[in-house]
Amino acid sequence: MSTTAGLIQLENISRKYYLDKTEICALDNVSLQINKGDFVVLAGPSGSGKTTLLNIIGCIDKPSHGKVFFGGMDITDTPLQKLDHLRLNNIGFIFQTFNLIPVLTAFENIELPLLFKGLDEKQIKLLAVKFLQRVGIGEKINQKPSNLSGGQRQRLAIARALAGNPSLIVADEPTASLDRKNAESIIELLRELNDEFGVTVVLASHDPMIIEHSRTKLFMRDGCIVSD
Amino acid sequence: MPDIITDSSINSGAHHTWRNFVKLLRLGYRNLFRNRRRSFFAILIAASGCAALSIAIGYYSFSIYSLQELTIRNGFGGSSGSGHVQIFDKRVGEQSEQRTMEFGIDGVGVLMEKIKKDVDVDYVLPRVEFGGLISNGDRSVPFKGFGVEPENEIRLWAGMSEINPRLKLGEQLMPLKTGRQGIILGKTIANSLHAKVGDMMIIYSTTVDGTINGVDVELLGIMSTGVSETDKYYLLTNISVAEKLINSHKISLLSVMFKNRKHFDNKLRSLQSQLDKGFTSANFKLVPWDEQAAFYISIRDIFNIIFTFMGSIIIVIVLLSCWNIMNMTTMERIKEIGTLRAIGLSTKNISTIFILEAFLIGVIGVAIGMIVQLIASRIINALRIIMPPVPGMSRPYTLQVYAATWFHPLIAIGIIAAITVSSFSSLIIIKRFSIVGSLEHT
Repeated sequence: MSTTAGLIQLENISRKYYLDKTEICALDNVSLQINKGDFVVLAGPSGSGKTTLLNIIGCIDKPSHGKVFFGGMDITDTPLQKLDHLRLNNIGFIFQTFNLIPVLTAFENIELPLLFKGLDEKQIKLLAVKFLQRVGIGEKINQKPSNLSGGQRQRLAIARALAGNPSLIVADEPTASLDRKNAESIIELLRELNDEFGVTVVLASHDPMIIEHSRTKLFMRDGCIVSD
Repeated sequence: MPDIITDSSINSGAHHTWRNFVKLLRLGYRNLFRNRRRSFFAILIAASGCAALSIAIGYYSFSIYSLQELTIRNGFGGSSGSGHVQIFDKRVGEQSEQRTMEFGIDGVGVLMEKIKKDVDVDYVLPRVEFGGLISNGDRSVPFKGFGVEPENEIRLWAGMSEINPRLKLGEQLMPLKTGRQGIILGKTIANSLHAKVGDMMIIYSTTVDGTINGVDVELLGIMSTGVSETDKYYLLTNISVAEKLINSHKISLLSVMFKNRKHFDNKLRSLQSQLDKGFTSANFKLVPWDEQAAFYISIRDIFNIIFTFMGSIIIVIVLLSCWNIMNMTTMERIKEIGTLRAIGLSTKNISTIFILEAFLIGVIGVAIGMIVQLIASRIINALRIIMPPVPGMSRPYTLQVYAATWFHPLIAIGIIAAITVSSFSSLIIIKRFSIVGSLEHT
């Protein structure tokens, strides 16, 4: 495997897929580098390729062409199944619809990925309490997602993503299901965590408030990065 | 934050310890409460399948055991039960007798004493088989007679009452204990002679010398053997009457009853070696009960086919029903599967959750099914339902279901396995969807 600098490096990647025999080019010859500690917002209208790019950055999708480097290592040809462990140890995900496990409590939602990282119960408990408190829902540790508000659910999703001590957090429209007040506090929280823990954050959004206040913005249109 | 991404961090599998397994089991258990109605139906299917199969197997086990005991104790229609093992002169079945009792066993008293010393032997039954004519003065008809010692023969027959309390077979032989020189006749042969209990009759047979001999006997009883065909020629008498008739103290065979049928082959070998040691010149052969039970074997084979077929259908219904439920359950949770895969759980881990869910449905269903079958078996047994006679017999029997046989654990395992296998459809779905496809699934 060849290596390169930066946490994530994409070289001339394209992503094509077929919809009823029609070829759709979701990403067209995109190159970018994201470094450790960056806070990057992918902006653009719906269908511009934000989510596709985010999926490739988050190692849950593969490009049709081009090269992907994660932590300096070329993972272009590594099958997705073999990247489970990489995602488990290095990437945290935050989804628009929270994607929490409804039958598990807040603590158990955080516990599940940590178990598979091989952490012992004491470590897991410490991490879960620490991050639930950090995101402001420490008192909800034994509540199931159905007992939490939208904002609290997203905070729980952030705590789950962070507790695994990832190098990268990938967030796809994390505020789209939230009201303005909650959206602002979630973005603020992500920024604080980015500063506090040095975790790299890449998020996709078309919310002008988020885009406006971001340090690094990548605007996308028709599968290409048009400006940064 | 991790600084170095290594080859091993990419390629090594996730930790999969016993602790994780327990957590996944707990997750699987909680998932059962997501769609309670669906889980209820899945468990209901498992419980119903388990109960149905268990009751069917309970009935099968009772039927087979009853047939075995009937063969051993009553010989399918009172033509004298075989006992656990019969001892013959080794020429029996290999050569034809030229005269009465040519292959009979002599010196039976010594032989019986020797056999009784075997710790596994409960009792021994000497038997004389003979044929001839019976006459009431007006009419003569052929018979097939059995000379027996009533004491142990009653014990042998009465053993059936332990299996089926309605059968009072031992009582039918009681008249032979009176000490009077008499006989018991099958129902049909008695009817053909217009005979009634207390009538005097003459039985004729060939003696060991080849001459015809006749003995006056009193009709002590009329019985149904349970087999219409046997009732046409059946005659039972004391062994002393038979000896007087054929003019010999030889017997046709000895039936041996062990205390039980556990380790039957070992008991048989032990008995054989004891006979070989003590009676080297006697040349006996031991025939276990099932080697001369053609009727039992044919019915058993039919039962085996019927119950295997029925069991397979139940298992397939349980499998397909649960397959369908697991499919629906999985399809509803595609997005969650995508989430779990995105956050780093392998398809193996996720598949384990679904397999454990199905396993738990199986375990809960089987537990309920076994309780249901225990209750149902008790009710069925208490109702004393009368079943029509088995083919070839004229005697109805009481339906019983054995609630605990060695088949029941196999049923439990089979149902749990079938339901667990049904979750393999989930694994196919999990593999079929990409992570992105799963996350986008609505």
